Amino acid sequence: VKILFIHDAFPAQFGRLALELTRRHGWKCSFLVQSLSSCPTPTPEMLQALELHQVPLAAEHRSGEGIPWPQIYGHYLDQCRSVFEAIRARPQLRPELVVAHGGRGAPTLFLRELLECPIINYCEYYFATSHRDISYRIDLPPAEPAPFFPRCINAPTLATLVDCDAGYSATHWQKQSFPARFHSKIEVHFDGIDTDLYSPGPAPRSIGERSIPEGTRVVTFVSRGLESIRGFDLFMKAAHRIAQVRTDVVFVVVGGDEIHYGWDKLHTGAPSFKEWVLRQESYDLSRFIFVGRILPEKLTDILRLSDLHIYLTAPFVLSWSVLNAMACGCVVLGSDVPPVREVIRPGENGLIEPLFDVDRLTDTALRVLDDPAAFAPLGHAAHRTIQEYYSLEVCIPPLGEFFERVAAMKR
Amino acid sequence: MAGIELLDLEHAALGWTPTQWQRGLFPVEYRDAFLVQHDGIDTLRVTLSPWHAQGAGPRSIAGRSISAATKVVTFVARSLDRLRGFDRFLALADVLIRAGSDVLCIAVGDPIVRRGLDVTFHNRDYPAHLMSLQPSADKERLWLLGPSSPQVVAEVLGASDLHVAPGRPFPVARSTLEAMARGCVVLASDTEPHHEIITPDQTGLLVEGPDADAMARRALAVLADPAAYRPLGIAAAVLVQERYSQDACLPRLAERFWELAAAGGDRSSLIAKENNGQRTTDNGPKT
Repeated sequence: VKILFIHDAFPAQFGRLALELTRRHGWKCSFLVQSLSSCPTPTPEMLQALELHQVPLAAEHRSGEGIPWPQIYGHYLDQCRSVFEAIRARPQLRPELVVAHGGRGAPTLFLRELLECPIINYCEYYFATSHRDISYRIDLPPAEPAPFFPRCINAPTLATLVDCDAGYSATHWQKQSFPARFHSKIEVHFDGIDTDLYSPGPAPRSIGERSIPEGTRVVTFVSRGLESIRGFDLFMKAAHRIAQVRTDVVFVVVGGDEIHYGWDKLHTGAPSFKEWVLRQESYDLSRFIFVGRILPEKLTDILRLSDLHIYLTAPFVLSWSVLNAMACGCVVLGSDVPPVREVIRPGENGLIEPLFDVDRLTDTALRVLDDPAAFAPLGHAAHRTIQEYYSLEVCIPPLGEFFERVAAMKR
Repeated sequence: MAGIELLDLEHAALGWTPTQWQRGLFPVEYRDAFLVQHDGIDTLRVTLSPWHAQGAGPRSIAGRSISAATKVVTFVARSLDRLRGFDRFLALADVLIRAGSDVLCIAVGDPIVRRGLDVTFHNRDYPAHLMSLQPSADKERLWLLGPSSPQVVAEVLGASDLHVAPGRPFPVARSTLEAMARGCVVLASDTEPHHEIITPDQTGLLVEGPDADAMARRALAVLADPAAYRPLGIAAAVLVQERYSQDACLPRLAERFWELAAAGGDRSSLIAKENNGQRTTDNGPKT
């Protein structure tokens, strides 16, 4: 099968998948991408085995500091045109299947003019006007643009969804975010966690220059950007209390300063939500290690040291990081929201507490830190959950079968 | 389908569209959530004309009287463009004018193409372009009245022996329904939107669009014996009165809107009623 993957970034959701399809099935996988990603970064193997074509970066339609919602549809159509031009200029790119991603609509709208093959849409998420995603943290006003923004960003998503031949979401909760009329068009296939990379095991007891003494408890928090939708502020509140109770805990925080979702900048008036959070309380920063954004191998080492991994997302697309942590056998304390409940069964393969209940989050965290060995079975079970349901080993075959099925569809 | 329109549908309690054919243009995922109801034409103003009711009587158009022996062929559109088939009308007019010295062809509408999507002729004089390629057989018997008042349109339709609606597939023109209401014998292209309104040989005539010869044959047959075709026009007027008049449409529309408002925007009972009731044809696009 000849597949063309379309995604702004590489490798993102498709790089590893394509590498596996190439290795296991001998498929030919090409990519149209705008840029190489830094989180995670492409591996040399991917760059060698996969054919990458670069699409020029679409012009940014952001209007200064404001929310770009009125420009989103125009930006999407520009992307559609860039992708169309890129394929027209490459007559050798005539795939049997297109698999396209777009957080704000996959830019495939004009491809029907050039390609006969079926198009699969990666259905990542459909934004809501309230009660989830970027509209959830009403405790951090202003959420004033919240009702408008989701409506605008969903326009390209709907256009893509109507146009595509089939779609898939990574989790059931993500699929359910879409209007019910489209559910019959969307299958659920998780991308797959690399369990060779993310697995339990020994790790050096040091982070950067800093060594972690035997016996010191390690609490981890991971998010691409340290922002409110992923509960960074709530984590810091709980961490502050934990630090006051136990002197033997160090908090390792992985993630960049940038804000990917929501209105944090409007609320704080500052570009970094992290800096704003740190100003809200006199944190003992000697107890925190902020490592910024790191390579996957480094993340594994950190997760292997973790006695407790805290994951406090609002109801939103489940982060790979929580699944990476589970794959490493971490005891995860997650927020009680539907996407987290889809993977964590509290008391079996992890722990769950209400997102905003810092008291309960703190108490539960302290119970784990009091006796990590007693909670270790949760981590073992988490590791098994990933192996059985979310690993590349388990996820790739049905995804490949799904792609073959759609590629065979007559248009 | 533009994403913005999908967003509208996604957030609307109900979609409303005038005809089944228009409903069928929307993605299949949304078609069930539609109220299909034409808003109707004003049949108090646009009435069955004496010429059609009795097959006789005085006729005049824009101050000029038309003799009883004249065979009047009409075309009405907002602008004389390709979408509404003005090119086809002009070709037909040429054939008819050559075939009979008693034929008068009249087109109402703006000669300047106003449709932005007609990128070739937008803001250009389309009739002038066509006639520069193929001059008219007899300019005296081809009247281009330009944009006209409702009064003149009513006169044109009231005097018509054959009204031609040769458009490409597009929502049925208000002028076509007005022609039917006036009692015209309508000769229309055999498109899905026309099929939805006109029952061939009962309430009008349908001709395979691109087949100019077939259209000319039908037109010549009508002009040879208008009396024989008059019942089609009368039936068309009855049909419009019953199904496409404001008297018929607006109360139903108001009732549906009221039901929806009373249900707090919950469309479910309304949709169930729609699907069990009036829907006789379901013309999705045939792709």
